[in-house]
Amino acid sequence: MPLPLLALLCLVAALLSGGRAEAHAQLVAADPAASAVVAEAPAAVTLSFSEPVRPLVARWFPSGGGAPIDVTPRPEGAQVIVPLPGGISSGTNVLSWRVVSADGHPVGGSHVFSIGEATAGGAAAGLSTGASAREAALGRGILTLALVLGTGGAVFLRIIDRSGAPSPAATRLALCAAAASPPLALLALGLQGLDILDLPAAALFSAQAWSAAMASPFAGTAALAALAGVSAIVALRAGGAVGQGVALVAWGLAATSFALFGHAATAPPRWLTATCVAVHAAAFIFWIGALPGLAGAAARRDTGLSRTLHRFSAFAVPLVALLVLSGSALAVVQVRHLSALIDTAYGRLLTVKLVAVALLLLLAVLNRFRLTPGIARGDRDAPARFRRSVVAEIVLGLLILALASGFRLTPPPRALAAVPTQATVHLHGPTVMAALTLTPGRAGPNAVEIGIVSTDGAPLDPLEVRISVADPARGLEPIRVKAVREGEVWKAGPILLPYAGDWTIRLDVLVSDFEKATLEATATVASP
Amino acid sequence: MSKMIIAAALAVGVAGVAQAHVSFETKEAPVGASYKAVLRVPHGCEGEPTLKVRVQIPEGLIAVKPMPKAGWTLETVKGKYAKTYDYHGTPTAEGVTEVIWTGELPDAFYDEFVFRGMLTDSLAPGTDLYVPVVQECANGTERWIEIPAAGQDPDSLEYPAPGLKLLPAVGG
Repeated sequence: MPLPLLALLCLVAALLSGGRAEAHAQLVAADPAASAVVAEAPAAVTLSFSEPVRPLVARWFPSGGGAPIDVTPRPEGAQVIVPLPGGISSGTNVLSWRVVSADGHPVGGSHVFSIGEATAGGAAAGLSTGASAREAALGRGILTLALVLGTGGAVFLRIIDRSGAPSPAATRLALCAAAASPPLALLALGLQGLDILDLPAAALFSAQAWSAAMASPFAGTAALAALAGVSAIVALRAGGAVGQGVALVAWGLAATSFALFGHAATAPPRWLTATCVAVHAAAFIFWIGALPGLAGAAARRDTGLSRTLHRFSAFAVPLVALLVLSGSALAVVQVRHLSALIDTAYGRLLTVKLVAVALLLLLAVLNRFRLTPGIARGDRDAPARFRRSVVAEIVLGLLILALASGFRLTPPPRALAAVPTQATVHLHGPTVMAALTLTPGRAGPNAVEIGIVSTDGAPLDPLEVRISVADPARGLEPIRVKAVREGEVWKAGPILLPYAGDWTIRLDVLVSDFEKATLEATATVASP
Repeated sequence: MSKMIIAAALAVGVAGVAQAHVSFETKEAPVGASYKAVLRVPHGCEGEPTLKVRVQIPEGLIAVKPMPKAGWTLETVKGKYAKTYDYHGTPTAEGVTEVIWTGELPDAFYDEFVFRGMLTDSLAPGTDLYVPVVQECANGTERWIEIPAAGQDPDSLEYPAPGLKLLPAVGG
């Protein structure tokens, strides 16, 4: 058959098939029905559409806030059969689906139903404090230690100790720690991925965990930490001005890595807290990282010890001042009220850390004003006493680093104080704006109340208000409900939000027969 | 020859999408001239027949006259325009603002609804003019009234209003 004729036939076929009346497919019914509570887990969920569809994605968000599970749906004419995966247990589960209708338009939605009983829903995966969170905190703690000893050691050995013969033991320790930093950064990143999705340790090599980790802000931290480790090795290997310059770079990278992640660095106002965290990190990396080198220098009764100590003090005094200042600023932001120092786990941890820091400062003052002058004077037993004092500082320093890693496991009082009784969102459009409240604003069933006005402040009398709530970042398609008017406000719900986190809320306000306003905003929903 | 196959393949795609929504047959027209709007209604509401088609005339489209349809009653709503337009030398400040056809169109059938009007030169060439349409059925209403926001992909709308691209005036 000649090709032009074939093309013509294709065209005719296309027009004929296109001539069939087609709309977007719509979900007509589901079994179990939306919001239903069934006694026993069904083998599958059946979604019935207004026309034959081709399923694209089906993702389960199991009760309890575990990681989403993707399953392969099976089309059967206008129905889509979605099998129930193994991880689905009793409680409220959400099935997010996406299909493509015959006209090529994808259509998606979320189907919420409960097995046994409706549950309030767990925390979103990623906010969990289970085993994966502890492993991730441990990973970060060890990485912190390696960074402090590696980059802090490099700074001390290259910039402070200019005796020309720094302690070989301290140099070896710094080199080992610096060399361990990149692999530890990678490990901490992987553990972070497990934490985000609340996966068991066995899933460390799964693509799922790594893609979640790469998308998290910790990826930046890990990258900077790895670079800091490499720079520290270069600094320790190189001598002279190059070594000094690269040691400064390693120091800066390591300090910045702390400012990219964690609830201290991301608390509002972020410009302040991130800067404070970087300064705080720079100070403690310098201080604690210098201690092994100082102890080594003291052990060898180095003749240059006095001059080294002099240079160390010149850096340490302003840095300790900055350490205290930045730490205080962060504590004020995170703790808010003095009583929270005792009432909350975070506060108690901070109190213990502050006691350890006070002891460390006391030792530092002792070193600075008693032992350093003694060494300068050439007292015979001064270096030995100095060394014992530095070893005590090292022990306290390690304790403080361990306590600081524990912060990641406890929500700061700032966040606890923020546990809401409702979440309010303001939605703005060119002609219409709305204030929407979710009560209680936590995962689980939420009543919705909406006040709608026109942007010029005049009251509005919409014909219809529809709400859709979705989590596109995690692939949860919209849960849709229609609001009803009650006096001045529109009410809907309860909408069952399966987990805490940021939800995209969309309002379709039918202003008049021919005018619809679509407003969108993000609501933050707390843990139940 | 391969070009023809590509054209045919494109036609498959275009035909498939075009059939899904209420749309105009002529998708572009110059301002400062009359426009014959052929509104295509490809289906009812979720399988139910269409009983009413209501078209809101946007500002700038004046002197609208709908074409009667056998079997359908035709009504128009008249109102004031936002400003006075020049219609072939006649200052025109009011006219048809809504056209309503009432009848019955089974879901399995296709039909077209026609009106004409004048695209005044107050409309900006290069922009799109949207004409919101409400399709009423026994079981509910489908509102083809969504207008893409600046920068929004029109294909992402579920119920887009039919529209046409405005071209520069011909001859000046």
